Amino acid sequence: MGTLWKIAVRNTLRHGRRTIITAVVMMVGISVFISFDSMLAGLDRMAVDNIADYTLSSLKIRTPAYVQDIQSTPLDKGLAHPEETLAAVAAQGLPGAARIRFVARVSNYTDEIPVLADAVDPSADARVFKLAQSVTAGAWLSSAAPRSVVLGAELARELKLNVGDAVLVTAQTVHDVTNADEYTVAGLVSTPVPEVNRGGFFIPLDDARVLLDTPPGPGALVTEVDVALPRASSLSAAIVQGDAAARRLRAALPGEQIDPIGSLAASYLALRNAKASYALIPVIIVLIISAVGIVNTILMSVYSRVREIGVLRAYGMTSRDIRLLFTLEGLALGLAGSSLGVAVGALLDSLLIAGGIDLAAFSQGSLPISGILRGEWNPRTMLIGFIFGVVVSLVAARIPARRAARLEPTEALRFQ
Amino acid sequence: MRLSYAVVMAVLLAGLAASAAPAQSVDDILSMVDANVSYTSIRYSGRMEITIAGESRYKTMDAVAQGSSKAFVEFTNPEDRGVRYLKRDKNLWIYFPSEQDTVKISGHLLKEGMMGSDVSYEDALESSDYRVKYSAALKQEDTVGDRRCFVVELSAKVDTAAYDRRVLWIDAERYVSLKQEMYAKSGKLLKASTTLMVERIGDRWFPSSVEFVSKLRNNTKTVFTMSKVALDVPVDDRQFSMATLTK
Repeated sequence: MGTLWKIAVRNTLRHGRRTIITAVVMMVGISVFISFDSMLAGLDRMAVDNIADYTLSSLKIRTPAYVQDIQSTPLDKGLAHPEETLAAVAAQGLPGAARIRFVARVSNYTDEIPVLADAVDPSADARVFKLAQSVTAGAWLSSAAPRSVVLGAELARELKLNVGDAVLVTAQTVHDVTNADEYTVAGLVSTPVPEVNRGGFFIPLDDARVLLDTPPGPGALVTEVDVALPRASSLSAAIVQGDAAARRLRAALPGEQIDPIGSLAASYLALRNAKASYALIPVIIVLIISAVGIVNTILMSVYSRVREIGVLRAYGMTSRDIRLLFTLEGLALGLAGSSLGVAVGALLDSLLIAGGIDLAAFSQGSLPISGILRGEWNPRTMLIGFIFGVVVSLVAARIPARRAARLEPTEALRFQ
Repeated sequence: MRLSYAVVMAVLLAGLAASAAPAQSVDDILSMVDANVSYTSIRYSGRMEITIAGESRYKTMDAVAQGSSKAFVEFTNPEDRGVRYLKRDKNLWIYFPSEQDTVKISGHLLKEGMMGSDVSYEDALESSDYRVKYSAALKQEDTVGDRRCFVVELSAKVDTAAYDRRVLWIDAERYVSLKQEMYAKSGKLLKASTTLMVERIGDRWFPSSVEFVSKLRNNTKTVFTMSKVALDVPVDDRQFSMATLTK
């Protein structure tokens, strides 16, 4: 066995060009498989991160009555004690921000666009969401003058509004009566979430309370408290972390409905689970292509050496020795190629994770998948890729070797 | 949609009920307006002209209403022929004959402008009695065209009043509102209306054509005109049933 190993390794090195070609084919296949899987996982993570960072937050606290009637964004079902809710969040060492969500119509006096407006505490909001970092023109509300608003960049473009322009905002008050007022556009946000760019409207809480005709001060209207959680290492870890934080907050705020990101992004996650089997199709195609490449190069390698097999048989090697030799050669090739593939895959992965791919050019749909796509480490995928490479090499080497080993030495020597 | 204009009209008119007494206190003035435009029931043919950026669309309809809580409208213009609206209290249903489908208008949709206009479905559901929701003050006298008018300012007494403040120019001889401005809580002027035509119906003066102008959108206006107006006529209650809506 030891001798056969030495011969196998020597043969592998002796046929340097074939070995390199086979190893490169394996490397390409396995590294593409690892990178592709990393990108798919990154897409899911990115979508959920965008939901948490720009629209829904990592955890949301509302009243059960509000959630039940959420389609009508009811202003009469806000949190009974928002200060206590924020204090409970702070007691967990988490940043929280109060918001009022209401329906508004934004107008330039010629065109009018309905939006789901968010009244925000500008400073606290910037600790929970990344909107303040997404201001591409003007300033976020925390550094703007009173009676200022921030608009999604596309919404502003649609209404032909720029920073400094007046915008007319119409909304129904808490008494269900129409109110309207003019505000100054302080800034424009451009985020990886198309719906924020197209319909984002942000106004300070105090100004919104005047527009909605609801009194300020302690106990003032707040429809939700949004909470940020530290970034978890993976999507599943983020969901587990959110569930744990929700359990702790439910104990502190028994009357409120507390929804972690796993619930908030439930529809996206359900879609992702539904598409999971379909998402495997391109991965399987990549594997099949690499398998074909590996098998092809190894078959060519073995068949080109049938006469060599005849010589080995003539020197007295048994069919079993021949099979074992070629199996070991396949194993050596598989180990080398798979190692190389995993190494290159990991390198591509690290580049994807560190630098990412800017999806801005591809962002046309309504799914929150624009922005920088970053990969996700997945050791399981690397292990699968490695084992796949080795097994395919073994199988690819063993089948022709068995056939060749059955040939008589004279037949093998005459093999063309 | 256009029917809702009809309903708005009815609501506006009903809210301006007045008596014919000559006294000039603001309460008396409003009472005389009420007497002119209040009714237990009304039947009419309506025409609504919506103009946006110089382009006009016309809607015609036959309408019947009982007080301010029940109304039924069937559109007769070719594009919308057979579309029917039924309003009962705070609910509004629309029947589309081509789809044989009924849609209930509620929630945020009730706050949307109808047919591209700035009159919302909720405007159509407004309470008719101004004196319940507003306190009135006689401000001054003015003229609208060549008509001498009392200028009456209504300020909301309750949070649920549709507008925080309304200013009415009331014809000093005929006691009908010739002009009205409607303000939001912020003080912003939301809408203005101008009465284009006042008709004599029986022993009362009745505004039969009113122009509504949104102050939140440039270059838009809606003119609502009623003809064949019959007031206080008997109306079968079955007129306001879902069966009639979808028949």
